[in-house]
Amino acid sequence: MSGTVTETTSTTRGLLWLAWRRHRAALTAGGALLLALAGYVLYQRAGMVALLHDRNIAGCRIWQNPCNGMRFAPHDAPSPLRDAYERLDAHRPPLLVTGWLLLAVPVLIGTFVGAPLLARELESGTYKMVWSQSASRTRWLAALLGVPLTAAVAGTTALSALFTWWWWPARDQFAHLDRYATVPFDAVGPAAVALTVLSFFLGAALGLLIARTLPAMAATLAVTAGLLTALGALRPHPRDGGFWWVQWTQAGLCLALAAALAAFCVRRIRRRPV
Amino acid sequence: MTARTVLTEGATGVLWLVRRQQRAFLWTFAALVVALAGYIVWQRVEMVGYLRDHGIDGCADWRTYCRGKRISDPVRGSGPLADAYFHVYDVYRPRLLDTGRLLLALPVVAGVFVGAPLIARELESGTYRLVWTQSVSRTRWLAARLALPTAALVVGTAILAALYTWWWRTARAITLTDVAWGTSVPFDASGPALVSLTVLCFLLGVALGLVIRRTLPAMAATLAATAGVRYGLGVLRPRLMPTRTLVSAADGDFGAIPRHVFSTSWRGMSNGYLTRSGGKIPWDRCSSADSADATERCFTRLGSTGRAYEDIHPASHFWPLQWIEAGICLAAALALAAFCARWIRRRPTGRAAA
Amino acid sequence: MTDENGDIAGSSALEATGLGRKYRRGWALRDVAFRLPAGCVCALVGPNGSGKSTLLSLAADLLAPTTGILRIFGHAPSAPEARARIAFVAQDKPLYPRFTVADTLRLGRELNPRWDQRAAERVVAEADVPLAARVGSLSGGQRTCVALALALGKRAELLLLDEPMSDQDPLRRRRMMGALMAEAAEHGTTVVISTHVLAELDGVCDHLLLIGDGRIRLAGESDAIQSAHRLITGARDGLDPGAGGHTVVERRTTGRQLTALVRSATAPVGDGWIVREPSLEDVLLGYLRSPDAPPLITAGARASSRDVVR
Repeated sequence: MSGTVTETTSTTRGLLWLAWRRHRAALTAGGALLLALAGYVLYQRAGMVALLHDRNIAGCRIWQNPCNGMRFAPHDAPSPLRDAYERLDAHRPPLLVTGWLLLAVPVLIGTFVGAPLLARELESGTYKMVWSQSASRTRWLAALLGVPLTAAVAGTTALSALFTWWWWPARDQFAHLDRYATVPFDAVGPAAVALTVLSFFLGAALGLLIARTLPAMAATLAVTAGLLTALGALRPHPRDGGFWWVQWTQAGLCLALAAALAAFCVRRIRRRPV
Repeated sequence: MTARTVLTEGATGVLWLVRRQQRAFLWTFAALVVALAGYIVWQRVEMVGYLRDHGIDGCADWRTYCRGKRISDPVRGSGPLADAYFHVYDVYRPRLLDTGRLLLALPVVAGVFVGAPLIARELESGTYRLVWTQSVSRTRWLAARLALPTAALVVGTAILAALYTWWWRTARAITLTDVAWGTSVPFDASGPALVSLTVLCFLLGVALGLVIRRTLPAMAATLAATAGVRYGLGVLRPRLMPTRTLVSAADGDFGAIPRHVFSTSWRGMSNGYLTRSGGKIPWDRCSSADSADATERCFTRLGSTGRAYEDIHPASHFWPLQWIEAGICLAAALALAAFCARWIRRRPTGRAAA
Repeated sequence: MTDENGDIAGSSALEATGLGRKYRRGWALRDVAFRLPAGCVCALVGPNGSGKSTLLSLAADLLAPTTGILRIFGHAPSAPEARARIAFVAQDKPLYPRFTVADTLRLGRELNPRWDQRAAERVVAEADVPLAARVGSLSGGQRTCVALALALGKRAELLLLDEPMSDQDPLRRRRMMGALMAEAAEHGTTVVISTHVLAELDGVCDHLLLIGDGRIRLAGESDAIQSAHRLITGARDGLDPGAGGHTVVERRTTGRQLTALVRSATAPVGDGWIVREPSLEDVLLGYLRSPDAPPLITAGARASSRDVVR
């Protein structure tokens, strides 16, 4: 009672502390996972780039014959070029599997981070406790969503950058790897990061609407999976060039949709009576 | 005598409770099963119609002739028959594989969204104290709590797995020979494997929820654990039955072996060269050689003759492998159920406030 | 009420010997021994964190004891015979929030062979809780009523209520308590109500169990406990309240005056003292303020310690 009155500026710090305290376990687990994946990508890419360089097949589409002055031996007999291609082919499954794994990141962030955030508060009624504290509801929402969102964006940016870096030297090598297919397209570049932001807000908005954790999570899973399928089907496939243009366009659309969902969350939180 | 009445009367009552609690899940799951089953039936009927209309039903694409007409090489050839095969490859193949992937998500979803929260939520919210202090025993309650979703999951996945197997085998008899039937799609999406894997993942979720006692962490742990189970089964599957070894002629030519053996088998378990005494030198023994000459020198040094071998699972292994995997999954599921029953009986929770 | 075995266990509703429960952070209950006769209404009193909820959870078989044994009408808490005979209302009143009140009562009907729907509905109606309302939308007090209705509908012989009235307004508290006691009296139900506010149970309890720091401090009939103590007042200097072999529970000085709570059934305390009988609250406060005072367990509340298991 006789203690110093806390300044309003420090309530932001308090809210940030509250958010960190709540997500400590998830943030730590996410960080550990990120480090492990980063190590794996570094290792795999180093092996692949070394192969392209040592065997002199950089820029060769797989099974392209002749390439860089080398050609297959007649009658399917072993030859350095064929051998190099066989080794290169072994790099394709890890690349694709990692891509699918990274694609799961936005889905999991929406389902396991975005959806429970508000749904849990509403379901358990803890929002009443928090809303009666001195921080405003909008500030509370900002801090509640801000910390996990920042972590998710930072994490996916790092992952997407790493994966793009791995995939880029091999982008033309694998003949059957359509670069506009869901993998790699949605797992690389700004599109991957924007998808994370979108699925996060999708989860938050569904959580706010449904107000129950499990149904909100299931709905987010279904909607994000549907979204990814739709994006894969609707995306234009320009014959040559334009890859980054399509990337940024898709990222822009996703971010605009995410912003709309965030605005919806703010409006609804402001209006909802305690 | 009182005890007897308690036990029998409680059995129907507790079923009412779990039905009431799982209402949303039961309806959602029923709708999902109906939708997926409808899609599979529709696609298969459409595909079979297409095959008939183009006269390629019953003709595998690796044959040379179909009803007296020559099938041009479906990969490079042209002509009406080749076009029909191309159509199946372009249109039905992705649908078939994507449906398989969707079915494979069922065990994961059953574990994460149905199994993990089942008990974890009761423990987290404290409602276990409500049910455990009624007249029905904890074990009976657990049995009912597990039985209802298990029954629903078994019936639903059995329908879907049967329909998918029906669609898959028709398609695989014609084309898609490049898809190894032992990989998770189609293997885990068809037959008793899908059903038993779903039951296993569901119980894995329940057990993790019981031990972790908090819904979200239990769900996350179940997700990781089911991924581990899927990976483990993938590693284990080729080893569940002894493989059959195909041996080439002395010059490395497999031409003497009928084509359908290669086209219907699950290939690539192991391959390489044979030594004079018949010993196997797997290909990867020489994988560190950095040129073709070095590879050849390596094999010669290991005593290789020119005779090559390949270990395969023939098509006849499909159903035995399915039942072996189903047996393993169900045994593990049963062990998990027993663990849950023991845990719930032996460990009244230590959570009440002092 | 006699047990199937026909032994004296039938006459005690709850009996503990050497009972202890240890959590990771330490002992919550230690060396607890007492018995409650069937048909009594007992107040379980003690400060927060003294072990009341642990004792009730042990009786409801939601916890397993670390040491000792607990018997409910002669049966282990985990036996089906015991489970059917107790009803427990936990402190936070756990209920399924998505169930309606009617669903919740149906739960009781489905899971209990001796269900009394009319008694349960009466309690709910008493508090004006609509049967069609979802439990999640009810106020704290209304939820308590639903939890109590579920407990009463079970027709249990032993009701274990953990701070049942803490979120009720005084008017409803009185009404609920009245309804509860009427039911208990009509069916001879044994009731154990935990509280840290004794005034809440003013005049309704005939037995008392005081727990402090995980140990029994007082156990027995309220009348016997009350009449076993004397409140004495005298000059601060020169007088020893313990003279004559009385156990001094608590002494307090205000100015030149000394007030002491002594345990003394009949013997005169000596000259120079003003002696009066304390209220039950005086006794409880005295014991609560002096954690070192020796415990008192009346003859009727003493456990038959023939089978102490440690």
